[in-house]
Amino acid sequence: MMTSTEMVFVIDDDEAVRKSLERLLGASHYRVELFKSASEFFSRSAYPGPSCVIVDVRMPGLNGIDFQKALIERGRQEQLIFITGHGNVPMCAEAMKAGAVDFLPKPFKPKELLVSVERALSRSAEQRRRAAEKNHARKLLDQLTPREFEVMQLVTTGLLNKQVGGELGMAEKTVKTHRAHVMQKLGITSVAELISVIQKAEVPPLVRPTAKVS
Amino acid sequence: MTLALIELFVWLKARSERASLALSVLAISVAAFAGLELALMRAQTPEQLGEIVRWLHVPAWVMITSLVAFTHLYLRAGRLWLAWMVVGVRTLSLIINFVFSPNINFREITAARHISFLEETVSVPAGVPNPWMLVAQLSLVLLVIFVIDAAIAVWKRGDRREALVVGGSIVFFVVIASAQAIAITWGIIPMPLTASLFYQCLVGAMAYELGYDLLHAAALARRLQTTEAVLHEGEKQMSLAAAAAGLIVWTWDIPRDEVWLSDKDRALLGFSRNEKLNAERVRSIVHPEDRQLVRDLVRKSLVTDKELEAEYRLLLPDGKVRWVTRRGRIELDTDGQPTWERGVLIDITEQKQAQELFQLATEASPSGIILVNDRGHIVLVNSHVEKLFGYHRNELVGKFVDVLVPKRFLTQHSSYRGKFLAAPETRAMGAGRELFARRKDGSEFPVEIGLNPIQTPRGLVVLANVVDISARLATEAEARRSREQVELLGRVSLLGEMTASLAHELNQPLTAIVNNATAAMHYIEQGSLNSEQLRDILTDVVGDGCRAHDIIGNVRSAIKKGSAIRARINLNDVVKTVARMVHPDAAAQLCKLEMFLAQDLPAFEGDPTQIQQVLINLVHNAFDAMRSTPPSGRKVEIVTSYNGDGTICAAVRDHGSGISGPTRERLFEQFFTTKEEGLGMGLAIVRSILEAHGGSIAAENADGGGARFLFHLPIKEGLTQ
Repeated sequence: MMTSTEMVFVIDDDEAVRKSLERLLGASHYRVELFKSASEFFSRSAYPGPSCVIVDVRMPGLNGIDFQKALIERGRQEQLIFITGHGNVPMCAEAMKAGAVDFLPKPFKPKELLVSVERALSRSAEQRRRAAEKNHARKLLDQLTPREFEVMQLVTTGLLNKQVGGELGMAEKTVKTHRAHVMQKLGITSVAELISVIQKAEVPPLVRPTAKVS
Repeated sequence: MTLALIELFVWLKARSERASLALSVLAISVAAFAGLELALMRAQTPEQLGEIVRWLHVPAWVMITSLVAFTHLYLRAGRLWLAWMVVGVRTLSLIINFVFSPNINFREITAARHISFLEETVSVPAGVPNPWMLVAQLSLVLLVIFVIDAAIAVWKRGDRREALVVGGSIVFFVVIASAQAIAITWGIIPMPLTASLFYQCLVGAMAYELGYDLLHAAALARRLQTTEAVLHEGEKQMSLAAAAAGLIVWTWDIPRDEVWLSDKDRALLGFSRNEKLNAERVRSIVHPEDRQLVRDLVRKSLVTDKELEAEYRLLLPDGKVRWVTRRGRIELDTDGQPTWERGVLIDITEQKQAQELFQLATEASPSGIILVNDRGHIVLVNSHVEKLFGYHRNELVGKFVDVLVPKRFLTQHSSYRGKFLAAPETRAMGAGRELFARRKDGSEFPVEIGLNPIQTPRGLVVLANVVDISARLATEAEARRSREQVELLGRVSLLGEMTASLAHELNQPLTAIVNNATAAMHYIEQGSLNSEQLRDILTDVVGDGCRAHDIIGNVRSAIKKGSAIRARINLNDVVKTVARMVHPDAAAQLCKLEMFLAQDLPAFEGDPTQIQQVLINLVHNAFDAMRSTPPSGRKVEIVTSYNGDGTICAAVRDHGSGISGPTRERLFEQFFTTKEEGLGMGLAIVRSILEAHGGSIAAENADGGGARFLFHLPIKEGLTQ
């Protein structure tokens, strides 16, 4: 269910719409913050918790589509729901391609909007969770020595210890020692767990040298 | 004798005067005859007499022969066979004369009679006459006949004086002399033979005649000399004039093949002063390319006495090329043989250069140029005309200009042409009319024609400048179409823009109302709504509702404000304009557009742009309604009519699926649409506009399928507020 950390931002130049959205979302127990324009939103610091932004396409100043571009340029990952009084198909397609959660023509059914908001917030939460996991995994991997990292990478490609030793020019026994250190440092016991950590850390997969494979 | 010498001299001087020779011989023989006669008078014995008479016949023969010759040569008449007969018979008598003894006159001379004659005693022969004398006398008769015949011929020829003097005197003196001789011979009259006297008179008469001729000839010669002097003067003046006019006068002696040119002209043409010129030499300065032409021309000129003319080039020794016109005429002799050809060469180089320049300019002209004479015949065309009309120029030159005029304009054209020739002036043809020209294949094309009258020595010619304007007209039509297209797009996008902004405007309060109401319901469900909150929410809902109402009101008033432009409009014109505007869309949707326009439709007062918008909207709806109709059945009909009740009516009918029952109810409501992309504003605006004009609109299903939208407009009433 809803947690108090979730936040919905509304950017619309029309006061009546802003106010009614605040009421509608408030009645569904979302925390809401209202902005008259995109630039006003940018002047607020990025919200750390799960959040989404409901933004009007047609606005004086930065319009909804340009606002989306500006966010992407800044590396921000807010989930966006577009609302528009009169949009068109190309505009909608562009927005969706750029990662918008939804594109709702006004007047939309409040339920549609609430569903979209829910989806946007869960996406946001998932995004945050993944970011946290990646952060954690990276921190774990950072403990490894470069040699251990190399051994770990080769192990995840499914090579036997002996083969890893051959690749790296070291004894099988040494490989075993490095492997034990890796498991210990990462606090895991299986190769499967190791792969999971690497995926979470989003370490680019090793391009395996093929020269010595026959 | 003297006369004989003179005539001899004359003959020697002019060998051709053979008549003079004959006369001279005559005179000598007469002199000889006279000598013998004198001897006869002095003779004492019959033997002497006989001998002298016999010898008398020798000069007599010469006399008669020379008389015949003289008559024939001088009078250029007389039958030759008669002449020969005279000479023949006389010769016969001369032979007989010498056969018989003592002579042809006497068989025997018995005695020498002495008679007194002019107080002197002279002897005459007496004896038996010889009957053969008749032969000699026959020759004299023949001579007389010959002369009379010749004289008659001359008389008939018209030279009456010659006939009388020559013919008359010969006959007269010969007859008298013969009569005397006969009379003496027969002893009828006692007198000595004095025939020579008569013959002397005859010679005198002839000499007079010849002398007259000589004098006459001398006078003629004098006159000729003066004339020649005058002629020479004239020739000099002419050659001066010729030089001034660039004329080269030439004469060609055809039998001798000699060409005469003045020294100056020889120099001009590069011939030396003493060079002997013949036709071939003269032809050698003709430009090689034109030589055959000149050869043909000369050949042609030899068989006609008409003046022939040709233009060709001369290639002079200095390498310069000169254009000349050659004119020449042959003179024929009495036998019809060419003797002379006289003519001129005219230097037309400058004229030709100007002509060439003109031709080049004409040819290069980007418009068609046609030169027409005052009788309407085409004199000249340039290559552009060939291109425009599809004729070769040979097919056009000399033809009547009407071949280039479409048949339906022919009568008009000839009357216009007459008017133009009556008052020629430089102007555009057919001011205000659309002009068309006819190609060889009968097709027509629109043209613009400029007319320039030109006075020439050969009469008035008209220079017509023809420009094919079909491309220009097409461009203009294209420009008009695209202008209308832009207008239409503007209008459509204006409408779109208007509806879009209207939608946006309206959607804001609607969104707010819905959100507020939903929020209130949430609160109620949660049981957490207090009356304060509820009032706030409802206040906002009312405010947004009012705001939406105001927006609609603004749109209507905007439409009304737009109606400030009021004009008298013919609905048919609007329909036609709209048909043109939507034509590309109709084509794109494979849709036929037909118009049935009422005649004499009264005008109404209103805003033409808005009425256009109404029609565009209805026609576009009709197109949209037929998306699922097979293309063969896609047709939109626009009908205008006048009901006679003070309203005019227009109907737009499509062949789509028609209007379903529930749809018809809400057709003109705002935001009601059956189209996926529609906003539902079109018909609402249409109705607003029509109502603003005091009109109304209705929709119905047409017989045979499809929908018909019908609107009425009052013709008198203006806008209603």
